[in-house]
Amino acid sequence: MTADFDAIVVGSGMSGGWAAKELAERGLKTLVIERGRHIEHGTDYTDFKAPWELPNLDAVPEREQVHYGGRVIAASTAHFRIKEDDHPYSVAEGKPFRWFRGYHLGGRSLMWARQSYRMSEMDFEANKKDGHGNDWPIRYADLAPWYDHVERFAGISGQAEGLPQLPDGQFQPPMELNCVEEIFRDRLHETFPTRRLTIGRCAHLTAPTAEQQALGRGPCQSRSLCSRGCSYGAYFSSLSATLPAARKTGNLTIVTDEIGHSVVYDVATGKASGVRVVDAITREHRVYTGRIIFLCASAIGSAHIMLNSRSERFPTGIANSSDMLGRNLMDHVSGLGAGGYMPGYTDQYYKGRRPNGFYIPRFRNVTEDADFVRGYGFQGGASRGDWRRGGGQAGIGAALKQDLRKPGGWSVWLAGFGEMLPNPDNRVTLHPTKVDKWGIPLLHIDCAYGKNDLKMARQANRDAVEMLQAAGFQGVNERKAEPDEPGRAIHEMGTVGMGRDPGTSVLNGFNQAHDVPNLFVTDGACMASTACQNPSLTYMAISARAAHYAAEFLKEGKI
Amino acid sequence: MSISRYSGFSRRQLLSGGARIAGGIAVGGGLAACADSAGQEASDGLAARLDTLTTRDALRRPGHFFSIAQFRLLERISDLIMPETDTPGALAAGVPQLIDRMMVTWALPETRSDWLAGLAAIDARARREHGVAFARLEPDTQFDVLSRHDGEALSASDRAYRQMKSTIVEAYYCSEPGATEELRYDPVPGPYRGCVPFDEIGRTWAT
Ligand SMILES: Cc1cc2nc3c(=O)[nH]c(=O)nc-3n(C[C@H](O)[C@H](O)[C@H](O)COP(=O)(O)OP(=O)(O)OC[C@H]3O[C@@H](n4cnc5c(N)ncnc54)[C@H](O)[C@@H]3O)c2cc1C
Ligand code: SF4
Repeated sequence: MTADFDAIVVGSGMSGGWAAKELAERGLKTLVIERGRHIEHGTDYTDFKAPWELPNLDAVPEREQVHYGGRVIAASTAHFRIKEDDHPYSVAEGKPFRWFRGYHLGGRSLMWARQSYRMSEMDFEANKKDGHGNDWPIRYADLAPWYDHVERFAGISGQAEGLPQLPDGQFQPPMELNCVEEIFRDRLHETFPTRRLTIGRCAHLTAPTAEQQALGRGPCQSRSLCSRGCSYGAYFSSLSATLPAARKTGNLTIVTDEIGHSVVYDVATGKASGVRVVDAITREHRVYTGRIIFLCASAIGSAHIMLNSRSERFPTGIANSSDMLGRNLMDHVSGLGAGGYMPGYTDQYYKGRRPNGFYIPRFRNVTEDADFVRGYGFQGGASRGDWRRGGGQAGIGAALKQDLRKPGGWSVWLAGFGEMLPNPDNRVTLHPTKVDKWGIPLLHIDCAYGKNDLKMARQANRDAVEMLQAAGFQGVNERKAEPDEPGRAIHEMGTVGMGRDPGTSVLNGFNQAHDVPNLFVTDGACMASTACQNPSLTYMAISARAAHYAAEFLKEGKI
Repeated sequence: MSISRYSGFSRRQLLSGGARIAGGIAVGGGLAACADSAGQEASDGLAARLDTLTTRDALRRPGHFFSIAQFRLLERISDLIMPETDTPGALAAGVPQLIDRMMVTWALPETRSDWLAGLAAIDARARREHGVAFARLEPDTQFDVLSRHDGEALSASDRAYRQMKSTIVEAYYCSEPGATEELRYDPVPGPYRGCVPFDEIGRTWAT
């Protein structure tokens, strides 16, 4: 029997785009199945609209906010937001979890904040060292060349710092810190010699390569309209970079508005034979056959598809002989940090809207001890107040206008992202009775922080306050005492974890299902631990690496 | 409360003033009539009256939310908060029209009531303090009334006023004259420069 495609990739976001590019570039006829609608790079973006061209001060009509969980969202970014009431999920009682999705071509690669950091050797060793979670079946050295590979293609701007906990990469020129950030950096180093403040490493082109230019990508213009989509292709997304590259090979087919329902398992071959989809519009079912299957539907999305792929051989979901499918759901511990203001420096300003901040890499359990395991890094930024302060400040008329002509004082924020430990009881399952519009069982999420996570959160707050105070910021306040509910960092991962032992993990060191050799999962689901760095760069590197090996295995007739 | 100011007007003047300001509609007369019985009780009831009377306003403009009287009041408030100086103000920037449009296409009923209440509260203060509708006060007095209302409402975290003021401010600075003439607007800045003397830029960035 010949398959429709050599490779099927489910999901076109951060990981799916990479899988599709690498597979197609290796000569495989590749199908990408995307549940959301088509988005056309450039024409579907709203980044060329001036503020006065946006109706209703760019707010989505109040009656429509119910679709977005009651949140006020910008109308100019609503094209990247799901109507949440169309896509319900359930959570365990008393355990809130926020599942933030982007269902359209390109997924959340169009919505992300583009912070891009490598994981380090100590991150890959952590599970083994302190005994939480499964030992990663790979080490930094396995991924380093793939980090190089994805950074060169994606374009990451940043400053080399030579830190063991945050390896340097193939950087395009760094963006500048502003004056108050430089002061903060210098004073921080004086008080805490082993804490470092560096400009954020972000997926923005500051010196595009010939390869990037050939894809129609240009340098970042500091407009900070990224969340509307960037017509310059200056930030990395599937639409600006990986899918166009995949398309160039002539090996790529994309279908949109088709929901991956389940992976079809063939008992005779012991392999996956294809993917069943539901047409999002007509609700018809159809099956695409393929020789290898890549699930890149996001961490929870891929687990969902696998749990729904039930057969006699795998009654609780495909490749689940270990009973680990859906388990070890993690996110970063977030909502932590502090803010304050810096008196003076009112003769200093900046030019441009930098789509990036600064980063303070992890120091806990690296250069400084803690009463918990693992650690956290801080993102942050300093800026001056703008005219918005006028709405809440007393005074009207010419004097108010005159006052707002000058920017407000300097303020700073620090937001900690902490490593959440793997815990098999934090898991996703299929809802026993409820189904969505398309007849697919809803996903049920049962996830809460553990003791270590909460301990770490408190220390992150204390550290943030202490650093700001030491640097001379005033009015320093922690953002909130307790972390946000899990999911809010939008770094959800785990659920289809990698490991060395088929009895305790779902995937091996090539992201290949232990039980089903031609099934690969390369999005955040595969992560055996979270580290504290923003994870997407790692998903990219892992996806590219897995695609490379999958193509090799196929060629060698191993799968 | 400044009775003297109020008593300086004859009932006839009030009525004709009302008629002029409110475009000759019944609303003007109705409000002026109420204003005649100066005193706390009457003025407290006014906020509600302004609301009910104007909702029955026979001259409501199709496709608009605010009645003519309410719209005039909104225009005055917008103009007082963001006046014309050496650059255009809220009126030239079309702020009241934008807000009226938002009430029609954007706001939920609760928000619309907040706006009516916010406007009515300012009118009620004018009546309490001066015995006449806000619209009929001299500009200087209007400025004085709104300034005090502004200070008190903001320190009392008055939601309706806070929303009104921040929306007027936002609508102004997001308008073309507000962004490009009053402030500095640069749609395509190019590479970010972190440390630039303020004098080189001269004004707050609009975005
Ligand atoms: C506001 C925001 C800021 C962020 N900032 C950062 C940051 O600074 N740095 C960072 O590293 N990360 C950041 N992230 C997280 C980042 O976006 C994700 O880690 C990344 O996009 C995950 O990649 P993915 O391929 O797993 O999933 P996605 O990019 O979400 O792509 C999944 C794709 O699969 C599709 N899909 C889902 N289910 C199905 C199905 N059943 N069938 C077919 N298709 C399906 C989806 O529609 C989507 O297109 C941010 C996210 C958000 C929303
Ligand atoms: S800041 Fe850079 S990446 Fe973002 S929209 Fe502007 S040009 Fe594009």
